[in-house]
Amino acid sequence: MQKLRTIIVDDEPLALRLLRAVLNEIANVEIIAECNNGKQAVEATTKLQPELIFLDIQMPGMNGFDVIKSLQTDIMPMVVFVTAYDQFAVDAFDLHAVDYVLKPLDSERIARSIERAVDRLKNDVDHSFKSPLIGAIEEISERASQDKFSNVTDNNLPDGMKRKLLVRDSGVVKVIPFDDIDWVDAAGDYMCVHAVGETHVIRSTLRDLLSKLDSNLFVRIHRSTIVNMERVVSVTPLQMGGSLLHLTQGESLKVSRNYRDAIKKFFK
Amino acid sequence: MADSVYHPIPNALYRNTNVQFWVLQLVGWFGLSLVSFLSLNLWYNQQGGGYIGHTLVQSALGVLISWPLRSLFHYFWNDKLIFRVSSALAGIIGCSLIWSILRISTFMSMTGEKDVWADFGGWLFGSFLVFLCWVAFYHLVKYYQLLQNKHETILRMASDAQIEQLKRLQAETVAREAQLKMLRYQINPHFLFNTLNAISALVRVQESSKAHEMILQLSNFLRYSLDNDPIHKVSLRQEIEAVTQYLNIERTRFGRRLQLEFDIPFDCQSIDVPSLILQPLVENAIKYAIASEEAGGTIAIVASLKQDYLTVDVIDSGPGIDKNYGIVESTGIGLRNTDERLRQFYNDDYELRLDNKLEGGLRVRLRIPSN
Repeated sequence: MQKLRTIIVDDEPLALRLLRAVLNEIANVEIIAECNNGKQAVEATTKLQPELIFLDIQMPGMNGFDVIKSLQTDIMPMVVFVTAYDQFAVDAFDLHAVDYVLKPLDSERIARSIERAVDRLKNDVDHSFKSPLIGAIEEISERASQDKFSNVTDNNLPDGMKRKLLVRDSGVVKVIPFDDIDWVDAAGDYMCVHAVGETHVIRSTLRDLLSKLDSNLFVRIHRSTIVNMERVVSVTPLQMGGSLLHLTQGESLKVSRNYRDAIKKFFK
Repeated sequence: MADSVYHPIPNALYRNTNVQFWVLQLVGWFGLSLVSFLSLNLWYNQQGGGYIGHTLVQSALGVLISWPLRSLFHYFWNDKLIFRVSSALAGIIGCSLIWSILRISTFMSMTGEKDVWADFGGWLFGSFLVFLCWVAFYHLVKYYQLLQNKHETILRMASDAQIEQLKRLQAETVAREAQLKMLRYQINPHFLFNTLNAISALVRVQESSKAHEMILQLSNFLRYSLDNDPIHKVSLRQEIEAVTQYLNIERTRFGRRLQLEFDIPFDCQSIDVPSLILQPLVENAIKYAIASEEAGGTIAIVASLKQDYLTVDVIDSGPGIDKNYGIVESTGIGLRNTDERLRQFYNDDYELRLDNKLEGGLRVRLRIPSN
């Protein structure tokens, strides 16, 4: 029987203990790491590449949503959110078919989420778990800020603005020069643009953005990931032929075996 | 005050009873001159300078002689009616006698007429009537003024009573709202569900005595929140006990991430404070200084009593606040609520302020009268 390699994340030590105790009783779950905050969660997930992650939403520093935005689409595991109370979250999760459990934890509910995860793993061909998650997160932030979601295009921009990206975030329109972009991550209808340590979610296609970006600078390293090579600080080779790029802001991105040639020319 | 726009005379002057008296005196007595001139001088064809001059002189004399009557009436004003009437009569008789004598002698010297004393009776009669009228008119004006005053006073009292009632209703509404807000705020869902989760964890890992302790702490805290009327005061000791329950629960949740320090001197413990006044301050400290910091932090509550004022500081080791945002932006409803409640209790005689500490962290200071 295939075991689901799982990471659990919660800032409260007691909550972590409870989740551990409950999961230890479920046969097809193997806890491979326990994290106390968002940063640790991102590091552990990137390094260990679990199939499943139980993610607390309310955490200091990087919260659960920040973790999702920071994780590369191509390595995103299945996620079950854990929340004590969040008025907007539960509805949004239901809407986007995202799995969640409520605190205080209910063993039956958790067992059910494991079953769903096993099913999804069998049926999901391209493992595109990030898309519904981003959808739910955007829905929540929309409801929280009561802001209309806008489709930002730069088709009508004057020439001076062409090398910039317009992003709408909580009612404020931000302008991001292409040069500020560290890396980009596509998730279904959305794109996570990581620039200067911040993550912006926009509704756009990767193809569209690729056509605008300088191909000498921005390289595709995985099916859904583009990176600005100027931000790469070091490379760690991985078994099975892939590698890990480490960026100036501290992120680690996985380069798939198929795309390794693309970055080779940079490291001659 | 009545609108002075419509009166050419400045309000203060207009309403001054002294001024009114003298104006009426002058108008009255010299009005009498005029009447006297028209009815007596013209009729009797006495138009010489002396005659006309005399009408003025006798009015002037009238003004002077009637002056003491005012004091006489003031003196007897609150006495029994019989005294007032008899003193008034005496005054009238006295004044008419004196006035008659004086005006006859001035008449004789100014006009040169002789033997006017023979008509003394007639002159006396006239004087008597004049002073009788004077007294009657004086009382008329005086009572009219009193009536107006009373009227005004009644109106003012009615309006004051209305204002008081409105204030009371508002205070009740605010208190009720505060209680509702307080309940909702106290039964903070995150706090409640996370605490229940923690208790569940303790049961699961078979630390049942700790679980039991936490259940008791939670129920004590909920009971305190639900039972306490925000309009009431409790002793600082009770308030600190409630806050301690809350903080102990949070400490079980956050583990080593929450450090607590208390410094409540004995003389402060029995001072009354509004119930649950510290709760929102402590919750904010947890939210911004402990929950949001990976390394956690310390919350300290320090009380002191100085010059009839109780000072309670809630100090955390968190990131402090950006003063540009002010109270509302950075700490939200909790602090606004606290401010409102303090105003209800103490009007302006309180202080609630936030200060960033030099060594880092935030101090929320509450200062209230100790009685």
